[in-house]
Amino acid sequence: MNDHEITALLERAGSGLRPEVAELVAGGAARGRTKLRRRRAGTAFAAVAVVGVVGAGLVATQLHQRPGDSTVTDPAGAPSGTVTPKPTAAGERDAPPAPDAALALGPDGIRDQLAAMLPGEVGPILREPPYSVVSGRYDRVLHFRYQGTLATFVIAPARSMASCQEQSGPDGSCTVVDGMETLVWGPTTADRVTAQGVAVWRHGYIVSVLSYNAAEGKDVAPLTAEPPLSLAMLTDIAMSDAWYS
Amino acid sequence: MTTDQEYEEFAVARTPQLYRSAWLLCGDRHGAEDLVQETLAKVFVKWKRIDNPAAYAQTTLVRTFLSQRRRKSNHELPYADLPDQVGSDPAAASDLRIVLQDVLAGLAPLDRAVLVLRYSDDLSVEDVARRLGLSPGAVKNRSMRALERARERTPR
Repeated sequence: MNDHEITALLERAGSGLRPEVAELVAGGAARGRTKLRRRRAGTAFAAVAVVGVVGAGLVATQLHQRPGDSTVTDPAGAPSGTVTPKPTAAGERDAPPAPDAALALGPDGIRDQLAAMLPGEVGPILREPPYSVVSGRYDRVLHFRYQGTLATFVIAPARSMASCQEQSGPDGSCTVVDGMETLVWGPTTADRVTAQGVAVWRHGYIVSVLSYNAAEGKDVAPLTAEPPLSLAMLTDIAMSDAWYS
Repeated sequence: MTTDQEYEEFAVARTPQLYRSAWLLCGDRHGAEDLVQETLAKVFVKWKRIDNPAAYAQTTLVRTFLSQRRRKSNHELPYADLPDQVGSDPAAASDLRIVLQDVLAGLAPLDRAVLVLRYSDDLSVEDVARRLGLSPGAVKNRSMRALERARERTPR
């Protein structure tokens, strides 16, 4: 068998295959949205609430390996010779600066600040598994319910995270607003729940705020048609000066 | 047209080709469908930063396949003869596909990837080498081995 014969054989064998294109495309996009949401959830701890405990290991990997790094295994481990990342205004190949300001509030202070900023009812911080509260030197993660729906607030060092461009995807956009890189995404539905969020890059941190339309981040019935925290509200929170001292 | 629509248009147009490659790599319909969806998901995530979506999708498909096989490698080995199929796979209905499944099943995953990229996607030796992180010589050797195997098992 020569080159031409094997090519012809492969062609003939494949020509009669009739995939369910619409189903495959819908399934692929749904998986992609879930992957993006995990990435945007900010930290492994935040993502636990979103994707469940099983997904935490995967998210932790994404966290510590920026997609632009050579050590990243996506897609599937080998170096790419055919894909050239588009240059970005933010210069995604340059590592973001280290945090240049201290964080002003602990988790309880952040929750109180949010209660003061928002018109609706802000519930207590969720502390029972699968939720966790993080309060490190450069990190804050807390989950709470807003009008009965889940909301997540994350501050994390920008260096440990995917860049604004890398997190944008088809359903989000990365722009510079008042000198701050700002990612606005959603509403997008994955795992039955619709979510939207805003992340702002500032002082070497990323402040991410997510709002869901259900009491949990996945696999539960929605409580509202859209997440109750609007993109404008989320943007105000993410851009606030209140988080830095 | 929104970015979402652009993605969908690309995915709809490209899925038949991706599915053909996936079927040749996996040898069964369910594996191929899962591989295509995982590939489309990865393309979705990186959509705005991909210069050449078709090439990116094809490379991602093959690498995802190899990665999945690597994870399963402790439990699965290439086999000389195709076992009896449980149930009927409509995609394997034709005799030709059964013959081809037999040929492909006897190849190591990397050899299968070389065969598909080289002879189904019609890439040059250099392109295949680049996409799989191999030397051109290794691609030639693997191609030759795959062709020999195909020659042995294909009825004249």
